[in-house]
Amino acid sequence: MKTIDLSGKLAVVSGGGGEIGYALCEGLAGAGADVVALDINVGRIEGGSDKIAGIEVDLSDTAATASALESVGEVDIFVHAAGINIAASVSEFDEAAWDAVFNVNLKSAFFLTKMLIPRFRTGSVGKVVFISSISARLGYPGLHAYTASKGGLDALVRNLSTELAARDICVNGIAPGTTKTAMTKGLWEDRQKCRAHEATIPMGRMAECGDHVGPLLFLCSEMSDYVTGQIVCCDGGLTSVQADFVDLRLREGNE
Amino acid sequence: MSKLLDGEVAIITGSTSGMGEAIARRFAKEGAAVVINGTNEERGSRIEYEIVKEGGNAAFFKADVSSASEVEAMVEFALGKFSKLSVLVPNAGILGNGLATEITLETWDKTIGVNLNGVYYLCRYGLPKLIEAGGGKVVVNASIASFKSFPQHPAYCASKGALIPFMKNIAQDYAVHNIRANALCPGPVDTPLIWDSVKAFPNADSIIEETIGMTCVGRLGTPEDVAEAAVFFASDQSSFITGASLTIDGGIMT
Repeated sequence: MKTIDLSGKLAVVSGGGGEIGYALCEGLAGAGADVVALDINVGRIEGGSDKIAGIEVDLSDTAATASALESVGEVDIFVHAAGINIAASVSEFDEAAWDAVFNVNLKSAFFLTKMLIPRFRTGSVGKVVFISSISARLGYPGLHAYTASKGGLDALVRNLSTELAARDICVNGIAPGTTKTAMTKGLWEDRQKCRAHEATIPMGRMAECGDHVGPLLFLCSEMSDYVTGQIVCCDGGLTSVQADFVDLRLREGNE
Repeated sequence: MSKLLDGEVAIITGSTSGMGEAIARRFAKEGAAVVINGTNEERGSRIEYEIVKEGGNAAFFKADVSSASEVEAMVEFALGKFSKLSVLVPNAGILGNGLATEITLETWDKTIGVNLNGVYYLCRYGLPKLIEAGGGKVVVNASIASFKSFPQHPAYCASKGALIPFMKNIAQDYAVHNIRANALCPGPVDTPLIWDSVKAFPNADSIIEETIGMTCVGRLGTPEDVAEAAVFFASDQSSFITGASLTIDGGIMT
């Protein structure tokens, strides 16, 4: 794909060892940026691009995260892609599960941003991008902590944008639609369920991890220097339509 | 590096000044052939000349977008000139300001005619050509006025408000044809239009400074800021995004 040039930029990506996170790291590296990926599991990063360095760290441990950042130099871009999900009914959802999800998905977003602000390069516009989710605005059975944490991320994007603009840092979010990862395997491996879900998406398919690279590069480049406090939905149109009315017959007639 | 819009052919309405002009110039730099549109021949021809002189591909077509037949002729012109059409950027807009009870019916009709009907006409005649091309992109230039009111801007706000659901409808109905539709929602951008807009405010002398103070980033937007976002929506960078609105406002709505 034709791309945007981020040569000479340093990007820190939390959750860079995850499926979406690593695709974003590859996208940033492909656009010329050097990438530091923070993750509890860096297996995917080892042996990959020499422009992506992995640091193994438990992002729910704020002190450990601070230590992990000591070796990181001047930063241009911070992408918070770390996210976990625990699903259970309300009656079965325990406090430990709630805290685990919130610590990784939301708390680490704030404290990583706080820790990285002094490291942002001056003289150019810095970029912070949180990977949120369309579930910040839609309900899903059992995803109580996940959806609430993503809603919190959206709010944090807006709030950080108001304060960090004075430091020439734009803060935005990307809300992926349902993306083919291990987290959604139960959906896309079941052909019937997957087809029913795809029928609610105007573009007729679930997202691939790579679909989120283009919006990320836009939000990390000079192209978006007047864009801050925004959430970009990358969902094939899922959240912009009344799902019942996506005309699958039209699509099938066109295939 | 390859350009983001190589091989695209775009019509940008209202592109003889302001954001439309910036979008046309930026699209041409990214490799797209552009049809420049407006009613001022002198400015349109000059922009065409300057883009071509810099190695771009551009042609001016004079048309009033509130006229369906003129928009239809412009679409045919694009086909004749560049052999295909793949990007529609309905951008033309006018203010039609005044209190709702005081503007003339003609002002109301003209504002809706340019800002809303003009968008519809470009889609009405342009979308079949995008389908013929195997797909394409619609980038509607709406406004933060789609979401909030401004003093004495009733026709403007109403027309811009209508653009978002219209865009979503295009996104829904034409996704099957590999067409994506999205909207730009610029905030305070330094164009000729904003300086006319402030005249309708009771605090016209100070509103620009106050507005700058209300943005997070402490400045007016530039037409180029908006053009960058238009490139994003017209390019494959946004290939899984449709039905979306992007606010380009320095954080004033945050």
